Amino acid sequence: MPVIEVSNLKKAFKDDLVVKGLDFNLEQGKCIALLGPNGAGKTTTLRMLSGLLKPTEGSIQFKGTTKGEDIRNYIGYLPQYPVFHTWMSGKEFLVYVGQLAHLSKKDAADKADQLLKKVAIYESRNQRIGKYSGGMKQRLGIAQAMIHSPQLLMLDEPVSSLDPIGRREVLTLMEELKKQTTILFSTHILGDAEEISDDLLLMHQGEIVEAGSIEALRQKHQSAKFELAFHGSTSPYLEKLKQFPSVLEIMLVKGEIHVVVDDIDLARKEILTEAIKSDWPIVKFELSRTTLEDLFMKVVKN
Amino acid sequence: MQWFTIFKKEILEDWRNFKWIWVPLVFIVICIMDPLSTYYLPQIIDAVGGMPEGAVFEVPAVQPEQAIMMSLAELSMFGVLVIVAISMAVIAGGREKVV
Repeated sequence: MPVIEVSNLKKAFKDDLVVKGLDFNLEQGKCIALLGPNGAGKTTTLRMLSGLLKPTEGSIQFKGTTKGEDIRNYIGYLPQYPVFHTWMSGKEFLVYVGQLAHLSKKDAADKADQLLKKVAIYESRNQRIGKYSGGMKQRLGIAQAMIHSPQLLMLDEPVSSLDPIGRREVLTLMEELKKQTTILFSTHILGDAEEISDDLLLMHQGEIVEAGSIEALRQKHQSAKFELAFHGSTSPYLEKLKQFPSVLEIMLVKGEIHVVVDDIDLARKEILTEAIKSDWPIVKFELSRTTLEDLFMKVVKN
Repeated sequence: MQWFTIFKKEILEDWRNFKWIWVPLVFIVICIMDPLSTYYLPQIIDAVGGMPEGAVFEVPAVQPEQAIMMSLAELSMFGVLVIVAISMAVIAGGREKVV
């Protein structure tokens, strides 16, 4: 059962088409990552879904709402750079936001306590937000988005601006939250998406390039590749490797050559024969599988 | 009722910024400056000097109603300016903080 159905969603700023027609459904109870490089249109998409931007074309349909209905009761949104009133304490802020979301003062206070415990800043609830660390602010931001128990939680780059410790804290928290609600979050880091999300929407230049569950995508894009390293400069071998018929693609990764091939046995034979004939100073010859990382890099570079 | 929630937040913010203290102070200062300086004008001129020898400079004593009119005139100038500045800060802050 989809929580939200998006069809042919487009957004243009003046003549610049930033989001070029998205079609996707988000399933209830899943954690979906919107992955893409900077400028792919992730934030624009999230802002349209949250109602902050009006789509140029296309429709967004939330489950259980009619067209034009106020969707703010159904969604929670954490912007990329949340700004808080630094003079407020964490608890005051949550109660304030809760009241803005039509909760009574008492309900808001109860919910605030509950969420503060969940995001593990209960001890600092009476401290001014100005004194919070980046990770604490981000977790407060998530609590703020959850205050009215929304069906869909949208987080725009929740971990991108955090240090490793803060990232870990927020990822653990999201792992916890995805048991209760549907989460859609954007990121440009594949590792984060792989770690906590069930489904992946890979965006590039305003289009969805790949979509599906992480497992399915991994299967689909798994092809064999050889990783080669040479003593000294690698550049002379690039050209030669390209000429083999079994070689599909060549990537240069950290001084190593990654050769994607269609036929492992044939490719191995070809490469090694050539290596012996021309006396290549090979220091590493390893068979591996392409990963989502390779897919991501391929999409980003094209 | 949500405007009331926001209104309460603004009041609380002003309290934490000590706006409830310094804004009245500024207004008091604006109000008393003009009558006070008129009242002490002879002394001020004496202290600064610059009046020729023997010149008589009569300043009538400030009447209560005159003092009030002076204060109101100042308020309509600087008081309005202060209010405009405060409103600008509130709106700019609200735009930046979103909620």
